[in-house]
Amino acid sequence: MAEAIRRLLGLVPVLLVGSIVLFFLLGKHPKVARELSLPLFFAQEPISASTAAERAMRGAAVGDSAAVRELQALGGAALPHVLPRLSELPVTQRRRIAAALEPVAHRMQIGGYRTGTSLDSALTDPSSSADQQLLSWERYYEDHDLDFRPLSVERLVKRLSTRRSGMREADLLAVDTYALPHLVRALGRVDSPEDADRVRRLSPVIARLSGHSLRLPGDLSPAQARVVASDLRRQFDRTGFKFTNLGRFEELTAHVMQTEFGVWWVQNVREIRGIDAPRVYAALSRGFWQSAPLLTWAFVGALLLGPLTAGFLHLALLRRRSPRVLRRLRLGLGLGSTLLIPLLCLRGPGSTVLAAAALLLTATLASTALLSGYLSGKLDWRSRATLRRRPRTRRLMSVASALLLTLPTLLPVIAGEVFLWVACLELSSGRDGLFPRTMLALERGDLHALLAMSLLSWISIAIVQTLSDALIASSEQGAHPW
Amino acid sequence: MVADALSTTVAVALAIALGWGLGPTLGRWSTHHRLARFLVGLLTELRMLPILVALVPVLAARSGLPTCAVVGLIGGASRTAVVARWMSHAEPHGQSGAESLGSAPRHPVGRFRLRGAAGASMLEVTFEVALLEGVATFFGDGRGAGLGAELAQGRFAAVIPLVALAAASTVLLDRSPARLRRRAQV
Repeated sequence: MAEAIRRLLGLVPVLLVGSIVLFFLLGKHPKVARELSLPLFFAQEPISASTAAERAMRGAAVGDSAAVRELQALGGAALPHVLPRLSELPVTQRRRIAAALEPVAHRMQIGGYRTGTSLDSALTDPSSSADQQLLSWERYYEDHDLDFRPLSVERLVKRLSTRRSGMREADLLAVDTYALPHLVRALGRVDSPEDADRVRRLSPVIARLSGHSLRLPGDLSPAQARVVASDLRRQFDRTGFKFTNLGRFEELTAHVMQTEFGVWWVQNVREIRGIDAPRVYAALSRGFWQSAPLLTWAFVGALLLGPLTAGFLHLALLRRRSPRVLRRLRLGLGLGSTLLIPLLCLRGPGSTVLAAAALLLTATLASTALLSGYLSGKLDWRSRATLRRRPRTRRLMSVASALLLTLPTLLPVIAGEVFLWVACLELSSGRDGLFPRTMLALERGDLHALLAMSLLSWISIAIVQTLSDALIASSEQGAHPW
Repeated sequence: MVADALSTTVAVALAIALGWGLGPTLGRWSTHHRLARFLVGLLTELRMLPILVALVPVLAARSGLPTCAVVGLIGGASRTAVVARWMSHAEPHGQSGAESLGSAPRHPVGRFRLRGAAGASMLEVTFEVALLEGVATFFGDGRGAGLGAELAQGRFAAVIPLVALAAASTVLLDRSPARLRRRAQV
């Protein structure tokens, strides 16, 4: 038992290394690589609000249109990094930046926020000159720099999350995308109707600031709200770091967190902790339960009917002195099981009963062939002569104990074969289940689904194998676990 | 079709050779060496992962090996694990005969006895190779090599050479060397 516990504990580092290797192999595949937007394992230059703003500002200053678009997308998150540094630039470059920021001023509704003051109206007046816009931005920041602080935004977000009001939303609009990380964090865990109300208040603001479209149903249930919050968080995982100010430690971890592997880990942890609505694992679980009846019948055939048939055949043929009959029988069983599989591949039966019967037959034949191969190897003429001299009950016990001792060895081996047969049947009959979903993930190059499938099947076979080995070890020491 | 049948035959032959050549040795090592035991365990755990089909095009592109060789190597690794597991676990005791129903695998007669289980566990090799070929087409660019790829593309005539190949490999795997068979009867 101690060995089994040691092996199960040893599985953790093996899985960690294994997940990295699997991630690397899958990530290198062209079909998957096309879908990836982040580096695989290491971000050489992690992005934060300050670096993204700095880069966009430098580009916009020289008139680079891509940088202008980036600066406009960064919006309020860039302002604390751009506006204080405007004075470092020549006037013409400052004018270009002020012109580039004009759509941001529209989005922030700065004119509406302080109607009647000449100070802000220039920012939203298209006829105002670039100099006026520049001057207005400088004055705007002098007035509002205290709003662009984490504590004050945190307070604004908290107020909006507890009760909705137009004024509170307008307060948040004044800091624009600067509030985005705080808003996403405030979505939190969604379990109760109160949590659903919070998501209903926060999610439209998040969607508007991040430029996504969002339609909420009239009556948002906690389950629906959880899905909405999870989707927003997942979108933010990939694009949110350019709106986020990073501390020293976060800058260090960003080398890993801003990669596909980091995002995968974060999303998995959130899903396992129940913060995010299950997506990949829910689909896998549905597929598994659809395949479960077929898998069960295949395992019944392989682990119950197969050993019983093999034992019965060997007892029945014990009086035959020539091993030729056994060999022919074994060959027949082997051929029977191998010829049944192409039929499954060619046209799997649509009805569940027929499919289960076909799998039961295939699994029983294959398992019987394997175990009779094992028994005929074990029982040479001397052993058979010894057994023949024994009373019937002891004879039965000898063969049964030999077969029982074989089951732990057989289990992890036959599990692979069972998956093979069920895969053939599901794919050929067009049934939904674990394997068609795997094919779909392969076709789409869905890295997260493939990794989840691989790791789950790895863990399940590893646990089965460890427990089987523990049974074998205890039977070797004489303590029969049965 | 002929090229596909040849490709699958090469892959199956490679898988059988690898499984039959390495499996028993690895199985015997794993009874004494921790690293070999770990390797057998790892191979048994990894053999049915969907990731394996991702390896086919990646390995074929990186190593320059033909697809049938890559499929054969992966199928062979899987069969090596199965045979090694039988060799290491099916005979835990050093005794033989009906008392414990065990035998020493180091002895040629013992090895012959184990051929039954290990040989039978190789029977699925053709279909494992075909499944690898077929599934790899979903993860590739739609083209594939081998009878499995033909089946995946809906050309059901490919099942005839596949059945012939499976039957031939079953008969081949069932045969034991006459020398060992004679010694086992003595």
